[in-house]
Amino acid sequence: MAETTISDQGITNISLLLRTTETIREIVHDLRSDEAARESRHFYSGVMAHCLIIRDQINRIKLITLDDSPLVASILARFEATISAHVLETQPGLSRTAYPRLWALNKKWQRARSDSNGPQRELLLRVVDLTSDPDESDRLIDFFERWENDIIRQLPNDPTSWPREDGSTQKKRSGQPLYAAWNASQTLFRAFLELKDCECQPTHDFGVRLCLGTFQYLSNSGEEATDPLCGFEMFLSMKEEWHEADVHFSKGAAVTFAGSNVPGTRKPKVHAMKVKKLCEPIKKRKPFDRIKLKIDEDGLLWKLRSEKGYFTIDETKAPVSLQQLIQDQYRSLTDKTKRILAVLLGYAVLYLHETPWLPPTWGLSNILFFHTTSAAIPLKPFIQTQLAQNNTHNCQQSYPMDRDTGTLSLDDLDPDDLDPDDLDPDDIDPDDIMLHQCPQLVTLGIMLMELYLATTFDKLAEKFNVPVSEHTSLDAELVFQHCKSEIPENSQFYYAVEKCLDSKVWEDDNGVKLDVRPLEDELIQAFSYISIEALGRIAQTLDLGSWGQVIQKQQRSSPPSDHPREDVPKPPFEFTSPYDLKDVYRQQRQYFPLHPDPLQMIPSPIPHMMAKPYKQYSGPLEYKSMRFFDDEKGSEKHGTDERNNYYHWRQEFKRVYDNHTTQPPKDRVKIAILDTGIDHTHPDVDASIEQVKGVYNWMNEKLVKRIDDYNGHGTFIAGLLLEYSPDADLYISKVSDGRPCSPSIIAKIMKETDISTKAIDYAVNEWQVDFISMSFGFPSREIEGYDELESAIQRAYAANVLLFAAASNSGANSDRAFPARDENVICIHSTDANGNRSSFSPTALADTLNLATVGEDVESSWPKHLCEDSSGIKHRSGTSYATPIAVAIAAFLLQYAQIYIPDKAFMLKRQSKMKAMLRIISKNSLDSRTRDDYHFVALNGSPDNLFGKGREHINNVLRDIISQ
Amino acid sequence: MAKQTPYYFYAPTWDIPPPPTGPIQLGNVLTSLRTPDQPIYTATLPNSDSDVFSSEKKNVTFSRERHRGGNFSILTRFMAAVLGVGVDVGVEVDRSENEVLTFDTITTTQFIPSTVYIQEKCIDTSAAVRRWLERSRYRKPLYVITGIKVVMGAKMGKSETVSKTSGNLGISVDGTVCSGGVVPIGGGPGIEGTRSRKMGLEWEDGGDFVLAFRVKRFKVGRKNLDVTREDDYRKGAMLGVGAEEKNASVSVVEDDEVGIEDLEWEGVEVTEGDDVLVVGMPRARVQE
Repeated sequence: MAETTISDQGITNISLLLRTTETIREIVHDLRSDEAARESRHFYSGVMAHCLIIRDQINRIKLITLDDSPLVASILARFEATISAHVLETQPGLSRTAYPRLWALNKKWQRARSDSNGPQRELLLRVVDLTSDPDESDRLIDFFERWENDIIRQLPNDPTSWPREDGSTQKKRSGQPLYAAWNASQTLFRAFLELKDCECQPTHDFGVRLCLGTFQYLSNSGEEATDPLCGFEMFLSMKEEWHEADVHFSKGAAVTFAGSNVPGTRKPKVHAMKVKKLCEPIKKRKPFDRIKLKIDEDGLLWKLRSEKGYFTIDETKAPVSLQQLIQDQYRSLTDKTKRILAVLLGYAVLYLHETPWLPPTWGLSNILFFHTTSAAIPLKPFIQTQLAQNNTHNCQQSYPMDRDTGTLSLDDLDPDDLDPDDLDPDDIDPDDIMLHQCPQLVTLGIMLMELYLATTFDKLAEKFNVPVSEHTSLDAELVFQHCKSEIPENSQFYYAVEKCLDSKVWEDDNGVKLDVRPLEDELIQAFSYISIEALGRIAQTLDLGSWGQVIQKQQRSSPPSDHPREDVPKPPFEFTSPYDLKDVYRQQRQYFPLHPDPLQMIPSPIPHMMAKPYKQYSGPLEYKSMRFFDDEKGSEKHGTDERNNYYHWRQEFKRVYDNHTTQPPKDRVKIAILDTGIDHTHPDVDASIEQVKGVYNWMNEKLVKRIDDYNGHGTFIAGLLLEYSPDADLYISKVSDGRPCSPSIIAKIMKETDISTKAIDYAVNEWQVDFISMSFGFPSREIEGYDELESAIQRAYAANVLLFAAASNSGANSDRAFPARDENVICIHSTDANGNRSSFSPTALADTLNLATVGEDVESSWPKHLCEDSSGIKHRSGTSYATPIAVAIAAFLLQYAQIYIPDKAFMLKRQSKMKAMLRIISKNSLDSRTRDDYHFVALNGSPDNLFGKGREHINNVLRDIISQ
Repeated sequence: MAKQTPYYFYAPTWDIPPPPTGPIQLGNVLTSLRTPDQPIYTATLPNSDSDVFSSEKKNVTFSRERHRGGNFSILTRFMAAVLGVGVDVGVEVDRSENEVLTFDTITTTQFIPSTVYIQEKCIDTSAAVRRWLERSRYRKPLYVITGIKVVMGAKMGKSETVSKTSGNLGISVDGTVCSGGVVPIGGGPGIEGTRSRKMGLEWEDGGDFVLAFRVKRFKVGRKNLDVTREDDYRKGAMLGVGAEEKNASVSVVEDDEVGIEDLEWEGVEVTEGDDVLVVGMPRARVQE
């Protein structure tokens, strides 16, 4: 679940930055007072001063600069890099925000600040590690100065010299939200109410369900679409039967609400019949038809010719309320559906507030979704209201806005609602209205919270021990205070809820617009291809029953939903036709589906793996030794099929590569390999020796240029990178001879650690590489010298070098190795060529990105003199080999960005961006699940793969990721 | 360069025995002219004897009038070969005015491969060659050995050196100059006057060895750029498992004699008895 709830957007980067500067200033202040050395104290004073300056600058420009401005991003990234990964240790789940460390730091400091000398505080002081490396501190100050100069240059104090914002960055909005819609809904309700009385016996109990939408339509040539200006989709009910209907407004009516009561003199153009009683058209309706109604300028209701219904609800099934969804099927709410719903709810309030459609006591249970006959539940929310006969409730007396419709009665209790213990008591105390002008907004705030956290309000309250009897704004605020921490502050959800609950905002009652915009923005940002105008349309195509998957045209045979909850309302078992029987079956599949998919039950047959004892555990000391994660199968074990699968996978990669690399790139990506060296004489290496731009042997000070590979592992890895990244420059660092580490020589291990450390620094500073590929690991960090390795990794991270390391080959026996476990390193798991988890690859970690790519039956070069058959080619398996392939994919992405969006390409060198991008690639369709909890990264031409799509689309996705 | 002048390359060392025992053979497919002894594949020769012809010259003087470049002389190369020692490149040792090598017999064996031969025998039959071509992304040429000069019988080399520097012939032991193991030749050579203006080298009756080889260069391009693969996703496929890899078919796009435009090599005109030919020597590489 965490996967979908944590958003990686910036609330606002600016507020984060403001908070961070303050936090760091305070921390540095404390550090300074603890510091004895004069020089350090000067340095700290400098940092404090800069923090103040930055704060000041940001405050100056915050109103005029965009949140994703590169200036803001660059300083945030710099701060982020300054803070060591320790800060995250207790909160690994946060790692998906753009600046997880800053979040964690701010949050922890907030808590730690109060108690001086607490252990927490000590810890935080250590996290901001500025003086350990004198060069680093100089660089930091340099950076601050440069940044300040930049900002003053770009946005000088004199506002007239600011650069004009180019139109592309501004969010375009076509058309203001239509207040007409609000008027129209009023009119509609009046019209219905006037007509509902009839002489029929028994008296009808009308119910209306109104479809919620944004009411913003794409109009041709920018003009208001003339017909239909504004249409409401709805269902009318009489005697428990629901009839699809559709009400259109002629233009005048919408604007001049409550016009004269003079009977219309103008005939409507289309043939229409005046509706005298509301029950007439309903009675006459044929099954599957759709009643078309029209309201003219005078608020009169006309019936037009019925059309074929296009939204065929399954009337045998009860609608599902949003509350039920949240309670019982919260898993079906993806990030996307949540956001869409939030926007729709926001619009509902915008358009329907102060109308009888929206009782002040509305709640989750009033929002309904329908089953269609094809057993899907489209994300098309309806709000249900009763056209009741009598004024049974008192609530609207305390409802100040419904004067116009004073005779109406409202009843939010839905007879069809199958949830009797409605947890929303839906009663508002008059006191409350004193506090908050718009009770609907309080409810909206509550609903947004519920939606975001996918928990009902009462459960939330329970969780935080807030005694709640009624849903007043006070209670809501209280709960919000508590659960705040679970909503990333940078999401618009947070902003929206905050605004909803803030009574001051609503006092002038004009600001409703404020409310919807941020949510819209959020949605637009998150899913750039959805425009507000198209939102309603897109939303309908999503199937709530199965995680917002796009509903397929045909009836699906097995809707893949995944929440076998017993308490989901069972469908009524009335078999009126064989057809229904099928439906019920389908529905069952929908509710209790993840029932053992027979395919998943069969254990995958990998006999040779099972028979194999783990060499790793032959001696206790070997836990400490450095290890290459290589061959997990004997060469002879690789079957022909597996090999062919691998060849196919590789071929696809190359095809994508070639398609998008039509000419040699100008900027060559640089990759360093830390391994056992390379065999220069190997034909594969020989064929592309030009790519090897630098070598360094860390094993022998006298022969730093001799990197002969006595093991084969390094040649294999280098061979893969030469093959998969034919336009990259390679730098070979020999850090081991690959001989099994003898348990007796701990010193050697130390040395090895030391070597990797130096090798990383060398790769970063001398070679200035973009990537470092490390196919080795230590099973524990309790090795002398590991701290140094860690700080080298930290420095590399700060320099925007992307580090990749092999996960480990111990299967479920141990977790990721070090350094793969390091926050600053991208850990790579192994799969076969079809994306199935390799049996030796460690189990995925929860709530984390578990990147994986093919690491089984991989073919590459092996020194001929070490080959049994002198072919110079071997097939091997291991996370060792998945790692360079993952590096190659990442390198391809960077190269792609450098070719096609050169202005933004550098952003992909940030780990967070690269991870986000790899994550996108790992998803085939929007909502495809992870396989074996791995994010399997592959490049192929399949239309589901990002790189199987058009270049325009790819570029947009890339830009999107970069600008998030 | 005269049109008809054959272009040869010295073997990396002069201790490589002639075929069939030695590694330098006709039909060797090479990735680099520096390593004629490390072919990635050895193509079978044309069947008929008339296609492969050899000629023999007796008592040949292999000489060069003047060597103007500041480079290895044949002799220094020779010393490297025979003694397994490298000559310091930094020292200007080889301002040779005259250099003469005399051999009892030189046998030249060669054949003239057609494009079809290269396509069929060197590429189509060898997975290693195709792999190499793919790995080099069809950007680099390959070479096939089409001629070999083998020295037999008594040999003698003499070089008159005018050294403009102090004549300090620095000899340092460094295994990097020659690749391959160094086998001392029977009889053993001697070096005279390492510090004098003249330098000579002679030996008797060493084993036979490959003096130089001739190559043809070819480049390969991909044919029908994978039209079939392109379609795989678009037209739907049977969902059987275990697709076979399709090999891209390749064809020779050009093959020619090697000229001296190659930057790493320097052609030197020498006379072989009455014939003139150009022999390529690697330019001095600054040692890494």
